[in-house]
Amino acid sequence: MNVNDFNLNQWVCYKMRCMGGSIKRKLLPIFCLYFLLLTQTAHAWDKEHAALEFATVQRSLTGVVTNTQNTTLTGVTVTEKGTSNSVTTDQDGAYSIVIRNTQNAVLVFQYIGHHPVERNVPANNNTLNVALEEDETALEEVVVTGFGMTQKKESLTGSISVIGSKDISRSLSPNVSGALVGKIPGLNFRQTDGRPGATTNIQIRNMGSPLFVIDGVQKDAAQFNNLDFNDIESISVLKDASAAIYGVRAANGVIVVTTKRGSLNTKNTVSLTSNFGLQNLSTFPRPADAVTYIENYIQSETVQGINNYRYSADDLAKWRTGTEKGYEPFDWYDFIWKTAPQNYINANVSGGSDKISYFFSVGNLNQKDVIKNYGGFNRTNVQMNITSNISDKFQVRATMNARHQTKVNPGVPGEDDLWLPRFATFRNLPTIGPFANGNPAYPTLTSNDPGTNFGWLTYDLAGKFKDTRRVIQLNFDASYEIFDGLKARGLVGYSYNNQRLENHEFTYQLYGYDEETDTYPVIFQNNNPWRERRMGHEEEMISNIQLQYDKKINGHNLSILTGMESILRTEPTSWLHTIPDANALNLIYFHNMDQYSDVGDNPQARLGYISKINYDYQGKYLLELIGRLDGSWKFPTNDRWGFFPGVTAGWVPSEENFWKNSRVGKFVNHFKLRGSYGIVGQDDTPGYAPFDYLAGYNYRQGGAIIDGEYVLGTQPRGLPVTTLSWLRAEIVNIAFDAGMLQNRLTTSFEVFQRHLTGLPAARYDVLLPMEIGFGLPNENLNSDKRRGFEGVVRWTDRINDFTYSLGGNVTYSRFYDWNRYRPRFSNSWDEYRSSLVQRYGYLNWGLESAGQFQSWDEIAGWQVDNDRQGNRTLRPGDIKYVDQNGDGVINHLDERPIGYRQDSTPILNFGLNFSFGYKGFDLSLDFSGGGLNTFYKEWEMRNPFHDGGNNPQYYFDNTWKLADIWDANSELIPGDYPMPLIGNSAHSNYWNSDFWKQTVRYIKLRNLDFGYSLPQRLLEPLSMSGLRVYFSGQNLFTWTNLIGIDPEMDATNGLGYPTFRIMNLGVNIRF
Amino acid sequence: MKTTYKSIFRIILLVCSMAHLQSCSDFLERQPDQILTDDQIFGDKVMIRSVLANFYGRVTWGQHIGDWYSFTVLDEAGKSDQGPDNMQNFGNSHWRVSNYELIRNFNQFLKGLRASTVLSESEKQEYEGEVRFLRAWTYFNMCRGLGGMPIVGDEVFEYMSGMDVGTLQYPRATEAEMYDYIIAECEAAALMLPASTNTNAARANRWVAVMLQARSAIYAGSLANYNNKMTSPIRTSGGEVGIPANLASTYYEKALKAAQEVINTSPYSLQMTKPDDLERNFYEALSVKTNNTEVIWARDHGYPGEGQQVNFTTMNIPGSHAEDIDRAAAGPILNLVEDFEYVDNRNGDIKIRDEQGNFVFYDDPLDAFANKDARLGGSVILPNALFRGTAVEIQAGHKVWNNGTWQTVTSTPGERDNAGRIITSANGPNRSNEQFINKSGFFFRKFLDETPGASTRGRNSDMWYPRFRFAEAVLIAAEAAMELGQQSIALGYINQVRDRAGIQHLTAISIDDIIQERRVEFAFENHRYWDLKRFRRAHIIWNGVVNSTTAQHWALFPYLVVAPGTPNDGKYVFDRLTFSNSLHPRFFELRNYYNFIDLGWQNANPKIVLNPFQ
Repeated sequence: MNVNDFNLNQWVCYKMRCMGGSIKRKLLPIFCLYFLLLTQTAHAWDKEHAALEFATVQRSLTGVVTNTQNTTLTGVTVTEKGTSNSVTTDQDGAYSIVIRNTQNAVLVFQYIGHHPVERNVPANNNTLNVALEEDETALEEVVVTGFGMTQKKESLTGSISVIGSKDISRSLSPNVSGALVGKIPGLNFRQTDGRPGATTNIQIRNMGSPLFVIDGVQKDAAQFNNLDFNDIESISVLKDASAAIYGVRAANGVIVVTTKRGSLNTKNTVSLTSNFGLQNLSTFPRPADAVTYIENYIQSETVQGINNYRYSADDLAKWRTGTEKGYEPFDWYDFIWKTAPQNYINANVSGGSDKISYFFSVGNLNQKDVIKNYGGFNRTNVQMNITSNISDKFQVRATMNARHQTKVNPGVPGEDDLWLPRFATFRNLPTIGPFANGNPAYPTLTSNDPGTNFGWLTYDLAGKFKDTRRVIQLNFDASYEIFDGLKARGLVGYSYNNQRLENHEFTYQLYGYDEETDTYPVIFQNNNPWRERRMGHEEEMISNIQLQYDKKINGHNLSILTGMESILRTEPTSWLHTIPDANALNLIYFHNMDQYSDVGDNPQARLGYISKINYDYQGKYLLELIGRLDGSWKFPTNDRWGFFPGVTAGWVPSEENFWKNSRVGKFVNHFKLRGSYGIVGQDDTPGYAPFDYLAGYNYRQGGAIIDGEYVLGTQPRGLPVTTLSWLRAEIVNIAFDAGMLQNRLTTSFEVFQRHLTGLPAARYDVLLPMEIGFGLPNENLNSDKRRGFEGVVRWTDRINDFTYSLGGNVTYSRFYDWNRYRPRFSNSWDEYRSSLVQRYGYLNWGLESAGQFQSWDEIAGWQVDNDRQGNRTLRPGDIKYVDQNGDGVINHLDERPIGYRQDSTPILNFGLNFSFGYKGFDLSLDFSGGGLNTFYKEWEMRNPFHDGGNNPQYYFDNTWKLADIWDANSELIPGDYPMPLIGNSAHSNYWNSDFWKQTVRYIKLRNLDFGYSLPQRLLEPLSMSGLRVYFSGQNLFTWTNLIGIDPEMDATNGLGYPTFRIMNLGVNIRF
Repeated sequence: MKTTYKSIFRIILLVCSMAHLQSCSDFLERQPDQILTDDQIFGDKVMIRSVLANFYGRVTWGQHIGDWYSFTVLDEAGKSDQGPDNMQNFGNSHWRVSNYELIRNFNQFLKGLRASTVLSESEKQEYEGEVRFLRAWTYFNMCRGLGGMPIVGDEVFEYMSGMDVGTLQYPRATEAEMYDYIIAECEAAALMLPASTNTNAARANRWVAVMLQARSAIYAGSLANYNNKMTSPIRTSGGEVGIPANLASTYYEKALKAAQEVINTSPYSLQMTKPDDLERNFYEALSVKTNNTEVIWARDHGYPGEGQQVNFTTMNIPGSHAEDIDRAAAGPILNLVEDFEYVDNRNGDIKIRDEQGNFVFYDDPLDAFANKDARLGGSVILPNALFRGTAVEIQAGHKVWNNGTWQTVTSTPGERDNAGRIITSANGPNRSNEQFINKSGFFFRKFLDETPGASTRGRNSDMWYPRFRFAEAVLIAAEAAMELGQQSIALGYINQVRDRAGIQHLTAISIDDIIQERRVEFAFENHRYWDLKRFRRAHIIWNGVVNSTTAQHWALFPYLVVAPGTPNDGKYVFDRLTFSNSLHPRFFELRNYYNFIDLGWQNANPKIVLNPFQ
């Protein structure tokens, strides 16, 4: 059977077939489990009926449950001990239960965050009121540690950070990654692109792209980002050896998402959230205005001795006035960019009976583009989670997550449809407008590049691009308690992610204007209609089976888990291109199709066996052992399986008597030391493609036209690679957590190191002559390291009605290249320049600038050849370089490290989170910041009149200038930048140096959220349980040392799509 | 208790079935989409041809129309695209070919082919001849850059961990041995290959193999000859570089014989389909595939077909004729234009000033190029010449007669003056750093596709790129005969080519005439660089001297005369200017005669000796 034909039936058949043997032995574990569950259901059903039959004498008991402050508690579980008989308290804390055992009945009262209480049922009284004591030691959170497993935070020893729904949903970001920024220690972030629907790059401790797990299923970043974050209950970030439970894909850490579910015995709650906001550009460099541009142009021609000026003095005067026809400046920035709306609406319903709980949610996000006429991003999410307790022991859950999302914009030539508008802002000169004779019906040629006239980038003239994704994820899981302490769990998941991309770029015409005849002749005709369609889907089938055993004996707590997981994925996709006969023809027919490529299934299969043991003694001594045996289809049969173990351990001295009795103990009420060590894997080995272990020929590689027809090529593959395997990361983490002053002040601090081994390199000391036609295959020889620390501090308190919380977190993670296979260098300079051994990685080299020349005399007396042309090209204002090696000439030998990495998340990130509450008012502020990364200004941000286009206003305003732009010998006025001269971009001023390459620091007010919740007494008559109105703003302020550009951008031309500033008004209603 | 036992039984069942799945490890065994086994290839005629197509797609090196920039690195054209070209000298691995992976693939294929049972013996012969020719062609391209390199024959090397790599080390062949090997392989291949032509000359036939024989021999002959005439010849002691002078005549004889074989017995000819329009005739001989009798072997391109089009037309079309965003990426320079002779004057300089230093006025800018070699108009679009039936306006600006001096007025492209006269035309030229505007005064004509849609990104062009053509056989014969002292035979050949260009006959012939003739006949055809190397002229012509007539790039800017009331108003004049977008003159140093040997190759194989100047 061809296993590539992904199809559920075949998959199941295949799984059954591969079990081998007779029918009985062919039972899949998963079916086996289902079978078990079904029989058990029937069994439970019988038992319950039997119980009813015998319980002929009943009595009823009522009461109210409160806490120690006498506040009633809703949702307290009241159970008759030893039976499945259970109820919960209502809104007033009242309960009513029918007792089955008339003799010696005991009721157990349980409530989250409180000590459970057992009471004998009074013999002669039908009322029993109970006050529950709060459990001070329970730090509120329960942490999801992976695979649907949870652990109380107090017993946690791995490095796992958690963020709850409240903190997530405070953000306005259209995607989940943006909502995490600045809120979790250990997370590095950078949003290099702000277009509608764009995501923030997040990395755990700068380790690379993490693995995402949503409701127990391994998913990709796109799926994670496009959840509606109002549907998320919590997100756990696994940063160290605790990730080993995910095996061969976990080396970069794991982000585990749990969606919301209803609770049993809660009343039905409807929650509506809606907000509407306006977005505009946070930062984008403004191009120079017409007069500034022309003055600088004239000045450049004066200096360069060009006597036939493009703009005469007369012209300049007219441009200054700016009213005469043909001399009206045009502001491209205002023409292209605008303020655009963003709105969001979500409705969800949750609740539960004593057997079934549910959470249904539907939400829509509509984010418009701030480029005029452009579309934007629209996403609808649906979430349905149902939990059914079929019996005490048997629980079945169903989860469905679906979304439909579209991106729409005009059909613009080029790879990135959002590039031309940004480029147009600078390429078009402020002296020319978009339309011939100012008539909007006739877009004209505004530069040598016809594409840059933003005037024709409309749906009518340019066509339409639309990318639609339709995604559904279905999970079914069941758990069954086989006997007390032993639980079996199984999960099957299926997901389907369909993409349909339609793009039609029209032919178009640009017009001139003939004044005499008042006609608009065509001056440019684009005859390149482009019609493409991409159709494909990703289909995934996963299964996950676990067995867990918990035991408590005399303070010894033991929990053992074992399980297995399989993932099968295919991604069939095809793409086609046609040249339609007319713009109106949107449908695709074969006769004008010229390309059709089938990308293939790209099958991917992974299988893993997991085990985990947790042990603690009285919550003081904690130990966890994790192991996963994991296999990946990428590697050859005999080298497919890897074992990834981890161990974490902790000690809580604050639970020891000596601590409790000491003076420190009064101040520090909680203190935990913890550490971990583990090996995790990464099967995305650089330079290794799946099936590289196979020899043979590659189909569809190259080809030629022979005998007048196109013959698709087939090329011999290189040597089979059998020497490469997955990467292995050793992660060490040491940390402490502390709670002081009754947990008003909490803090934790961690140091970590990840040593990633197995990076490919060839054993070059085995020298294969070039004439044999192949190189030595790579082996897992090199390594790199990340080292760093992270910390978080939070102070939470209340003063009467005023509650407040102040928190901050910081993450520092530095990359090092580490072991290299026997490095060789031809000399010490070569080693200095090229060594990658145990040294900071991604060093950014360049010349060191030493200010600017201040006068002609200074240049005349300058001993170092600063421009490699005997300094004859230099002028005052030009950049001086440090002659590092003292050889009297500036060249590449004078380069030294001047910066950090440019293209990834910063080494340093931090966040500050403040929140305040007073009566119904609440205010929260989230700041995020970063540092130790480098931005390089090039092209439009640096080269004078780049390619005949414009430069930023701030740049021209701060250059060296002539006092009289018509007189080259007039006085020079100093500025921050060299004088911009046309065509001078190869000049020494524009060499790679720290003058243009700068280290970035910034802090942003990422979110500001101010709300008011109406008091209960006003809402009750409206039968509402809550109403909050709020204002929230995103990216309201940025403080940075990078002028003119958003500090998170990485496009060196400064034209990266900027992030938005968003101001939002919203309302949340619950009833 | 009964329940517990039952449960335990169930757990055991569950655990067993889980363990069972482990045996199901072929769950991880997946089938790739695009990998085929050797048997699947050599058991199927279609797949064998597919591998051959892959080979044909991989044998293009040096200057070619898939890389428009490659035309600008010599003295044929200049880059107009965006900012200036900073090229200061030639790199040590400029156009270096060292593709032993391809050689290995050829040998893998030969091995599989010989064992294949699906082909008839004659089919096998043809395939073998074709692949052995392609292998010789690859060696030839390697040799003209690097000199002699290891010849590995039919060997398909394998490597086992721990084996003695010494057995894999081959020394470099001498330069002469290398050419001998190529010639011998071509001789063998010629016997296996059919003599008939094939569609668009895309596949090797007998004549292609003979042409490579002729070219290799003439290269070897001229190297043996001119290298030894240098004051200090370039050679290595082992002869990996440098061919002994005494071998020259043998090579010239081989070259003459092979070239004459093509001239006399092949189905090709000097194409002459439009005797009334020699410019058009020359253009069609090179750039039109239909009914072509000139081209012997070409890299064919076609539409549709993934990756089988070239964007040369898209990138270089004049703005006035553009169909998409791209245009004017490069243009021919004056150096080349002036090397085309006049019909009756061997000095091809354009007359822009009279003896008093005053402008020469032309009614039409095209008049300045009247009576030129017809090949000029077939290779270069001149100002106001036709392309696709309409004139290509090339005008840098106005020359305004102003108080007794000429004032130059330029504008943004396409702008008109108050009288409605265009100032700087939309095509340019200008001397700015602007993108998409010409800066040399000329556009490419040769290989510029006239097909509608051929200059769009979505389609691009299916223009071919000839590698061997009949005129080369003629000029090889002329050169070989001249070198062998057979003047009259040589003149007979070279004048055939000059006849087709419509220019006067030569009465005596020297090496300079050969260089000159090849320069204009084969402009943009990947000959110039290799010719100047084998004649050892490159360092003289590209001497790196600022404003030298040969090394500096020059442009010719046409201007409209604005002198109302004078007879010259509305006429055209020209300025000769340095080409503003090439900052430096071309500088070819002695080290550039041979590419450098990569030090890594020597590290891996100590038997590889380095090249001179290294």
